[in-house]
Amino acid sequence: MKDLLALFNNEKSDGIQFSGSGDILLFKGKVTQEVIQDIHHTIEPVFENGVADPRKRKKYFTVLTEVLQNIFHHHNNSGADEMRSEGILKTVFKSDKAIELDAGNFMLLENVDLLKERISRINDMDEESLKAFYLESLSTTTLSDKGGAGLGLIEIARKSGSKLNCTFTPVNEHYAFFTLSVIL
Amino acid sequence: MNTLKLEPDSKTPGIEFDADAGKLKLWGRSIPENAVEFYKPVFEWLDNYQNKALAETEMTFQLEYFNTSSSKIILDILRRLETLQQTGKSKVVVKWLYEEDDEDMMEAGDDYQTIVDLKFEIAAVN
Repeated sequence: MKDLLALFNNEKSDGIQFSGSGDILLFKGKVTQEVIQDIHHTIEPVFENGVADPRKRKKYFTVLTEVLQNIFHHHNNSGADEMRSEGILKTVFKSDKAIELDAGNFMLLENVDLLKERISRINDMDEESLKAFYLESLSTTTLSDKGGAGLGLIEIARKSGSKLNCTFTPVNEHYAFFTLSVIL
Repeated sequence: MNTLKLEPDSKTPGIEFDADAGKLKLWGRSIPENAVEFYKPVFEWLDNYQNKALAETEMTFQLEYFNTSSSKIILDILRRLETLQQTGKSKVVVKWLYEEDDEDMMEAGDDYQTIVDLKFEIAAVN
């Protein structure tokens, strides 16, 4: 997953790139609602032409939306800096129909422990307790001003049916690069 | 009372809330970046409907997929309808329709059914 940071640093051009054979999508740049729409639009044909399993289409879009809106919501908070508005997303549509989704973005070092704790709590849960936790969070949390529900990571874990694979790499005294990897 | 009508687009659902027929419908995708802002008119409409509700109200959800921000809003809509029923103003039925084979959407309907005290009809459509 450290290669995602290398990929972020080495990738010169911003925007969406699609590999020639249409099985690898790469996005780097500022995450906005428009980008989320554009990625949806770019990937839609992959499910229509059979490269990806059409039954995974909604699951993929749900997880993709959560991952990107998570980045978007956090940097959209007042006082957030330019660095946190950027992200990288890589999706590989494998020949065995599995979908690998990796995302990375910068976050404040001071928030790392809190996020680690949350992820570890989610990863310790089996399907049943994850559902109970989702229902409890759904009925008790209130939406933030920006529309964040605090349910994103739980939903990603539920939809993917696998553990959240994350890394935190400190890049300087203020920031860490956070990566999240899921397989659908 | 006016019918609330919005056409669906790539990130927001179609909405048709018809007070005269007692039929409320929400369909398509719901992934707006700020669901609170988008759904404001829906809650205003529901506030007005409290005093003009028919004896029976049918709320239909037929969603393709939605973000977690919208999942919270859907629960808030259901809670308003639950209140409407509790005050004896209207008997509410929730129709939760999902595309055949879409187990996630079926399960989402089931999740809501366990949280609110309303009659649910969860069914697959082609």
